[in-house]
Amino acid sequence: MVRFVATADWQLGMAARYLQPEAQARYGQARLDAVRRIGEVAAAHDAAFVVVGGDVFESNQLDRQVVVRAFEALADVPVPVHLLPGNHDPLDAASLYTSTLFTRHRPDHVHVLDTAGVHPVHDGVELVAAPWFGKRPLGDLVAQAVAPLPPAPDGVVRVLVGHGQVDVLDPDGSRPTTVALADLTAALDDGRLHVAVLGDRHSTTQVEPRVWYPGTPEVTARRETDPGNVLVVDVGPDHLEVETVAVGRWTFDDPEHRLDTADDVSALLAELRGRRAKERTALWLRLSGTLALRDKIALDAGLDELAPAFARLDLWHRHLDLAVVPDDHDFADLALTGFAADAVLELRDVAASGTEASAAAQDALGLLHRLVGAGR
Amino acid sequence: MKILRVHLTHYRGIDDLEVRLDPVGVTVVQGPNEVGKSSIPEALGLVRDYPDSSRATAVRAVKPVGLDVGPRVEVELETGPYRLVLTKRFLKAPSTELRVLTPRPEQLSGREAHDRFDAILTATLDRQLWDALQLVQGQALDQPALARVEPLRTALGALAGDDDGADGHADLLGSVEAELQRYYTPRALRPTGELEAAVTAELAARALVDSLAAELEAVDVQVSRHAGLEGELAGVAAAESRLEVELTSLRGRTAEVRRLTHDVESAEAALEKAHLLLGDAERVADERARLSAEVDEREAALDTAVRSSTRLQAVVDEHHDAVATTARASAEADAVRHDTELAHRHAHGLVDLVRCEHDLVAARERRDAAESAQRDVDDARRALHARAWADGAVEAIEAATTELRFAEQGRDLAVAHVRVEVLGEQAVTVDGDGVRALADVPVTAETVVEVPGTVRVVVTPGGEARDLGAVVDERRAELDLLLVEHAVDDLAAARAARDAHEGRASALRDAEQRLAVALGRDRRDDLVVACASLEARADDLRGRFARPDVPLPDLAETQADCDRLADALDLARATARSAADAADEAQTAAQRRAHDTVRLLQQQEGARSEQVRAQGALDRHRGICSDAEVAARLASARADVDAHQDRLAASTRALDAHDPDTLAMLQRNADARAPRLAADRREVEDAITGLRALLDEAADRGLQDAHDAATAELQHADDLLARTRARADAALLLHTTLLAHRRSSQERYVRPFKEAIERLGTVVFGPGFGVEVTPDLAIAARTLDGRTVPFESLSGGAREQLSVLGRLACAGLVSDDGGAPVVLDDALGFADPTRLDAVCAVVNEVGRRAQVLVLTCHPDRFRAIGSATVVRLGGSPAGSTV
Ligand SMILES: [Mn+2]
Repeated sequence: MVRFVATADWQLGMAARYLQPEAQARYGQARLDAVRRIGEVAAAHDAAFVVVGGDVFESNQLDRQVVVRAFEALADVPVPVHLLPGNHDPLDAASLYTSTLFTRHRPDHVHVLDTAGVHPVHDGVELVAAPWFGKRPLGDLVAQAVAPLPPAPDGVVRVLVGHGQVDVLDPDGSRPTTVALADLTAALDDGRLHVAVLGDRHSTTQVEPRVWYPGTPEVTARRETDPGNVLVVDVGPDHLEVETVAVGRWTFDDPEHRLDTADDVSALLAELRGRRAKERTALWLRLSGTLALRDKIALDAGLDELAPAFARLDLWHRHLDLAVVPDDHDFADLALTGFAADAVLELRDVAASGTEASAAAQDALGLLHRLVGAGR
Repeated sequence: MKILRVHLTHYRGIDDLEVRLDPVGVTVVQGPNEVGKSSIPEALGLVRDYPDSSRATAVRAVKPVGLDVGPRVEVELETGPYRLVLTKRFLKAPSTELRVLTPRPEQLSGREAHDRFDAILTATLDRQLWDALQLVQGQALDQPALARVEPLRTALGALAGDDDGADGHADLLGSVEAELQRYYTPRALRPTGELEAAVTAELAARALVDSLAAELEAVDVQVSRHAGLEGELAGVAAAESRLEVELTSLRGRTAEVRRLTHDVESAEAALEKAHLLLGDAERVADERARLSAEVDEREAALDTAVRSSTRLQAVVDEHHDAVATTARASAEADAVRHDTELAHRHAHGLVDLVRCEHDLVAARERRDAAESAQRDVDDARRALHARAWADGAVEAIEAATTELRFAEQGRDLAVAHVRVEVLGEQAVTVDGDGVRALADVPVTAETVVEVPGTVRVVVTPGGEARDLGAVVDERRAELDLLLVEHAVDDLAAARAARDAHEGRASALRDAEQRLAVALGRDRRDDLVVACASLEARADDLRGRFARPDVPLPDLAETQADCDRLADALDLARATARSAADAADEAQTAAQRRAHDTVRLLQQQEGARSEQVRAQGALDRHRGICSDAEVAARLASARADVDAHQDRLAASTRALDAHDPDTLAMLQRNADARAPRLAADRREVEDAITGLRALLDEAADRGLQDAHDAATAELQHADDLLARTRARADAALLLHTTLLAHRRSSQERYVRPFKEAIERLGTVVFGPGFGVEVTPDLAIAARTLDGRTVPFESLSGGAREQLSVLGRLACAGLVSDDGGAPVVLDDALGFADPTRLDAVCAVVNEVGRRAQVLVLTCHPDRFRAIGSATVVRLGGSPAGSTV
């Protein structure tokens, strides 16, 4: 019986270009903070060690300082930590793991699973590692690591640590590195392995009772469904218990809203205003509906006002289905007559036409509104 | 505004001039130059613009010439609801008086009067309109600036149904334009300002991202190459260890080969020695066999030689017999040949003799014939020469005879004849000759007839008779001479003599012919010599071949004998020759056999001595070593050689089994591979070191961070660009849309003005006239009969006419709302009479609703204005009032 913390895809050094410049630095730090929290989880659960299923670092070409910062964070983890090179940080000629900085400053309790196969890491515990040695291996590294395995000796618990998409979850199964679940379950069934921890999928996922993706401890993309967790695993030759523990602090989201009235706009703005931890929240709003020009202007103004509070707050233009229809009220108080009034009528028609030109016409009307309003 | 009256005093050159104008209609003010026509509108401007105290240039310009008084202007106007009279004196004792008559009487003076007048005009008259409607001298070709004429704009706006006019929203347009120019340059609409900056920033950010992405890509490639090189290095190491194993194996095999090679070499040496011994034994055995064989051979040769001599002797004998036989036959054949030759020679001599005899007879006959012919020739020649006859003699004699006959006949006819007839027996003579019976004698000479004795009659001839007689005598004498000459008696004789001569000549020719035939080509002497020669030969032949007692046979027979013997001789000769040949041949053969016999005997002797010598040698050899000993030594030596050969073959097989060539080749290759592998290793290691350095360098640069930062920058640049572009597009769209609508609004607004001009212009230019009017209400182009010409390109006349039309159209449009007088000062100087009349009609028409003031120094020019009031100046003394 052993208890350990399973995690993966730390992606240390990852940049979030879509965040505001100010938020980007905080986000980078958040990923390191997550490591410390993993240490806390390990301590709280009395875990024997931590295993990281690949992509510890975002890239081998990162500034080497990332290693220093990672070791700083790891120093706070009270148990041994086993790092597996993944597709982002493979053990190739440019690898961070073989850099002088890494080898010289590596804390004693930090280990790199730098060969494929069995690594005895603890009394009665063997890690079976399938590290990446390059960005484009030609086969299923997990299957290659598992194939030559003899049955686990009596009383020994075997934990597979790998990285890659499992074929049953991967709609594009044509990649050579896809992990064949059948081979894995066969090994689990016949006692060569007892549990499998995989990296590469950033959402926490149970593929089958003994095969898990812990996911990334801190969100990395808005499409992730369940990021921000680690797994606390209790495993013995005849026993397995997996607990999901949340450690992530950041939220990336793309909420949908339908806006048709001024009230809808107010409600959305109120909801956004009411959000907590805005500085750790990135939102891509997916808006639909039909708004009067005045309401759209109000929405834009409201969003502009709120945006600085968020790590990012923006419309997701690709998913924007918001029509803006200027009505008579929009221009009544501007008292435009003659040809100017005619021009407004034409622009309004185009704006409401729902064609490609609509957006520009809406903007033109907005501009007119602003210019005339300002002169008044 | 309408001008009702203008009164000028001491104004420029005018002492006093008062002009009254109709409030509606055309007033033509005509007069010579310098009379002050233009002063009327000028004065109006002065009183409006300048207070009486003004010293402005324009004011000072109207000071009267040579007078120390101030110029005075009095105008009476109707404007808006007002009717007023304004009097102003400038410069000297300046004063201003304003009397407002309606709607409420006012009386003001000084500055108050000026200000009130100004206020009334400002309220009721548009200054721009006033200026626009005046066509002053020297501006005939310019269009009025109508765009700012408020009454016109108002009128047009009302006509267009547009209550705020096309030129509204200037502020809005200005601010839209300002907004647009934040992003685009004014005319070319090239990005500028914020938009340009955003585009540039986006491009720069993208370039940076691209370049960093390329660098990352390059690092990836280097990493792949590194992995490849590591693989290669492992390959080199594997090859090196394989080579080590191979070298060890090769060393063992090489030692074994060396041992086997030694075995082969010693077997080869032993075999060589056995071969030497065998060679000795074989040589002895060979010598023994050779000697023994030689003895046998010599004996056989001797035997053969003896047999050959015996056989040859029999042949020699046969040849001797043949020699004797053939010699006999040859002698017999030669005897026959000799006999036949003799017989043939005799027969041949006989043939010659007979032939010679024949030839001799023929030769003699020819010789005799020739000699006889020669004699006849000689005789004939002699006879011919003996009796000569001249050619032509007969003819001469015949001619002389004929002459004589003619002479005689002439005489006889002419002379007397004496006819004497003898009648009896008595002899009668005439000149002595007796007459037998009758004589007729011509008397040419004295003739004596006598009967002898009886009578003598002498007759004497007359003279003529004598002459004729003389002629006859002469002819006779000539004839006689000829006869004597040719030795004939008469003509007959002559003819006979000639014939005889010709007979002799003929005989000579015959004889000569015969001689020629007899001689042929030969000469007579040749024939003689030939005869003699034949005779000698015949004698010789006869003596040798003929017997005196036997007559000579004939030629054919002799010839036949001879021919037959010739054939016999040929045969006998051939026979003798072949017999002699046979004899010679037999002789030669016999001699050859004789030589052979001698040679064979010599050979036989040689063979015998050889046989003896060989036998001696064999005997000596056997004395040294017996035949059995020789055979035993040979067998033993052979057995030794065989044994050593077997040993060598076995050693060689053992060596070959190890394939020493291949082994050597493998060894060489293995030796060469070591340095090559070392070089490969060095090369790969160097390459790895190089790549390692590149990768370390890249690692130090934190490319990924730089790339991420650049990507973030690009993201923001993209966002900024999108936002800026959206704003720019909005400004552009708003601007474009506003301008488009203003333009169509302006078009609506200028239409009434355009139509007014075209209405008036059709009168002047005819149907098919049209104008293009700009939003500024200027005429841009004229269309006539489908041809459109820009205003600036029109002729001066057309431009002036259009300018006048523009003013008149304007006046027509604004006349209902107060308006202002149209002033045409010295206008239409460019127009031709037809156009001028048409323009006059138009002026007349406009004059129905507006006040028109025409100033001109050409009374004729505007005579066509139907309802004009004419004011003449200058014709009457200055100061006259009209
Ligand atoms: Mn990953």
